[in-house]
Amino acid sequence: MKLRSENTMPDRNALANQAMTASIAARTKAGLNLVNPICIYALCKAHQVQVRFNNINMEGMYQRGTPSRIHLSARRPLPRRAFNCAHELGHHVFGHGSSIDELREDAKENPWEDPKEFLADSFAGFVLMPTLGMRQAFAKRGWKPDSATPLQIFQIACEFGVGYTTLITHLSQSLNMLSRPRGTVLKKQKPAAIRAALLGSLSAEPLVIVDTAWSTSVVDVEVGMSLLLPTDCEPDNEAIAFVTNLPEGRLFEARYPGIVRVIQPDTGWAVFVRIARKQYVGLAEFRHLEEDTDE
Amino acid sequence: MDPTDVQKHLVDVLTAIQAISQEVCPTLDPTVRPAEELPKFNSKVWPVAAGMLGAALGKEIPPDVNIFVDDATKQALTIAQTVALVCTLIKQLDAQAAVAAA
Repeated sequence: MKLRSENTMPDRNALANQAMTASIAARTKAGLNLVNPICIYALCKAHQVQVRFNNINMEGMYQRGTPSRIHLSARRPLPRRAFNCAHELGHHVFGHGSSIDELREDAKENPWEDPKEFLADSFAGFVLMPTLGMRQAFAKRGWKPDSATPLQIFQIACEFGVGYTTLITHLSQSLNMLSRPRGTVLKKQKPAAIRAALLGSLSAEPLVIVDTAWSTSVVDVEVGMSLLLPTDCEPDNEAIAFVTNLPEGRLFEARYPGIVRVIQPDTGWAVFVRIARKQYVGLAEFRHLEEDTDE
Repeated sequence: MDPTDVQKHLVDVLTAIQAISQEVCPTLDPTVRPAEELPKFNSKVWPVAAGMLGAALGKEIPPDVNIFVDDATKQALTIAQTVALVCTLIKQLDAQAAVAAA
């Protein structure tokens, strides 16, 4: 077990290409298409890697073995957990040894100088935000990356289950879909401010915006999170509770763990919202189980 | 692997990629060089196209093999050349698999 490697840095473009092709192979091996957002925990399962959330203050840990295991901190926001998981899966597919990624803030000043970390980070970016998926997400909404507003970028980040800044970095540095100056401007806007502008007040709780262009049938949230759904949407149980109507849609709050189907009656548009317990600790595959009231 | 099948699937994949990207797609005859003639069909998408083609053919085309540009000359390949390359590649992979299974 070691804390990051100390190898010299080869050509970044070559490493990024290697990461991109590995992400394609990883999705293909799991029978996933190369466009849509994915559940990273399902991809890990398809690669026989067990994922567990722990109540430990760290980013992630990869433990090579039979089976290989990924440990993630339940204390991180949902999008960061997903990215950390994809990063650790990157270590797995590249055959790296067991490693611990401590708090990013406490880690080496520039982890991208380490080839293994750069590879794992690039892999995470491409596997969660595939090139064609990014193109489709903007094109089907009639948006262009360089003229997209912070809210529009935030919306696409929600669809792919990644952080706002993570998406901007990937679009500008990995995919060249967004100019670096525009990326810098967008990064000055913070998700909390975007949420506040939309909701009319500051809120500490994360928000997921779902629109009818959402490309999968599943939305992942955890208890306490806010959910902005298309106008007229109705849930089929009380796992999410209606909060208010906004010009952009209906605001709900995730109340209980479980799965709820949401439908827009007039159009038939529907998604399943999967709600995990807040800061759930345990195996990833059980994160949506409803609480047993007999316990 | 029948080259006609490969060509049909390749054209379907290229058409799908251009549609997903909402980019123009010219008529894809065997003389077209996708890497030069399809808008935004660039190096970020070539491995994706190879992966999609492999999935359509039920064969694993290694995504690190460039099937749209000649590695040695850096010349963009025509659809006909890509089809020939893919057929050769699949033949080699099948032969390797047969050896490994024996």
